[in-house]
Amino acid sequence: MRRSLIVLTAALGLFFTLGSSFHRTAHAQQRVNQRQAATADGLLRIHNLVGSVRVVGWDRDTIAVSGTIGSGAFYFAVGKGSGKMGVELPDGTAQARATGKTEGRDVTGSTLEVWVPRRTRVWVKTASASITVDDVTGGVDLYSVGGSIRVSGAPQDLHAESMDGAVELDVTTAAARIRSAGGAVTLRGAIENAVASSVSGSITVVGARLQRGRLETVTGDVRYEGAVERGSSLDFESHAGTITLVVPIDVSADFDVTAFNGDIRNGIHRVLPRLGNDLRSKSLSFTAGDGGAQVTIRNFKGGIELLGR
Amino acid sequence: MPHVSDVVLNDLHDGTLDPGVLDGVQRHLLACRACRARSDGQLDLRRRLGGLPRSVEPQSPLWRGIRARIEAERPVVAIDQAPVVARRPPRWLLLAAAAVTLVVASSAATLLLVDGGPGRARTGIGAFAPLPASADPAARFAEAEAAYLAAATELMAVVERERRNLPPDVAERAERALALIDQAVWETRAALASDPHNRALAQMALTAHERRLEFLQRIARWSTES
Repeated sequence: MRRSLIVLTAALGLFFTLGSSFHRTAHAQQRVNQRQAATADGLLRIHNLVGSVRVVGWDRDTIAVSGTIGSGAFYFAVGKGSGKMGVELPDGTAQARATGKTEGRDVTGSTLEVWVPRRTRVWVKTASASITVDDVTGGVDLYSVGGSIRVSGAPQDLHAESMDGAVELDVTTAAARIRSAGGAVTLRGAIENAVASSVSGSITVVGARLQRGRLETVTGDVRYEGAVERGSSLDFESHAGTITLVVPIDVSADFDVTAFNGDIRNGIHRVLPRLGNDLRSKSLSFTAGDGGAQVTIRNFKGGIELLGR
Repeated sequence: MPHVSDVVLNDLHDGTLDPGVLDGVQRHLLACRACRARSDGQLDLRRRLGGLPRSVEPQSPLWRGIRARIEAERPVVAIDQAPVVARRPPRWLLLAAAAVTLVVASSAATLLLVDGGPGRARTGIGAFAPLPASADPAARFAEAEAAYLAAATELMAVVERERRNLPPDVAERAERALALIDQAVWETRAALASDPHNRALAQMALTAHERRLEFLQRIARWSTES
């Protein structure tokens, strides 16, 4: 009799625990599926601090959103030429924005998948939520504190900023400006004017075609792997990271390289680095092939490697 | 943070400062004009001392005679009799002594030049007339740096005031990144102090300032928009 009572009590406890948990989940995770007519080249601002945001360009004059809303209230409004959408977290959760937690209380992230007219100018801001943008041809402005940022397609121009999240771009665009602190930055595609800066995060350019590029870090490594376009101008600068260029062995460019306290390894030309008057800095100037492009590299105390492939 | 002492400045320039206080000292120097001026003075002194010959042999026959006698009277030390090594005075004391020497040498050189009358080439330590700001890369750098630092000081005040709005872990990560940037600023400007006419170095130092300003702007924006 006593044994049956214990089993019954345990079963009831389990039932209420599961029930309560199910109720909280159901309350915290609401489905959203809405759409509104929009102009073809308007502005859409999206604010979702925790979770994820994915924006996809399509060939309709409609903004559509689907996803799940965690903590907070969802809003979506489209006016004349501009719209806004996002999730407003409940009061008292401001301190949880980067981590998703506050004083022992969970903040459930929201997942938004948004379709916009392709030429829409997109602005997204998150804290820990990741951001993905595909096939948008309007301008793109993305800000995240700790979330990753990934963009593909051909935006008119692009500004991506994250403190710790990785930034990955595979784009064709006139101008891209990327700023990171601890997150790694990776660029691919064709960019007329690229400016990327980071503190400790690395910057990697793989197979991209840059007409004008400025890549700089404080302690992060910089790696450029690809061709140097005729008439292009590329600047690389680091304080303490290693700068590595891997270019075709028949590259045509004028190189101006200075390492103030580090070594220079030149694997693409016979010219050896020259020692500065301070007997510490090294510099290297040479024209490879017919020249016609300018490559400038400065490193304060990290090394510089020029490699042919 | 209180002002930085000369001993701490010397340790900083020697690279022997306790890493635990390094960030705070560098941050203070970038914000405090008075301490920065003292630090720059020390770096300038080091640079000028570095340019001096290690020893100067007086040409007077009298000195040659004295030296010959000293050499002759120097006691021979047996190999197994290790000489007592005197305790080395601290670097700041050496530098202070060197500063006095330099001032005396500089004054002497100036006096010699004045005695030489007009038209003589003005060479020697401390004998250069101040150049117009526009003609001197070092002065131009100083002007640009002053503008960066003034802007950074204002932004830093905003950051200090608003940083409580940032989640603690974000503030901590931003602080770590800022410490790396501060260190970069500090190292490049210290190198420039040793080689003030190096344009590439000046450009790097200004880029480091620009990066610092830009990052402070970002933190200020995150703080005020959070």
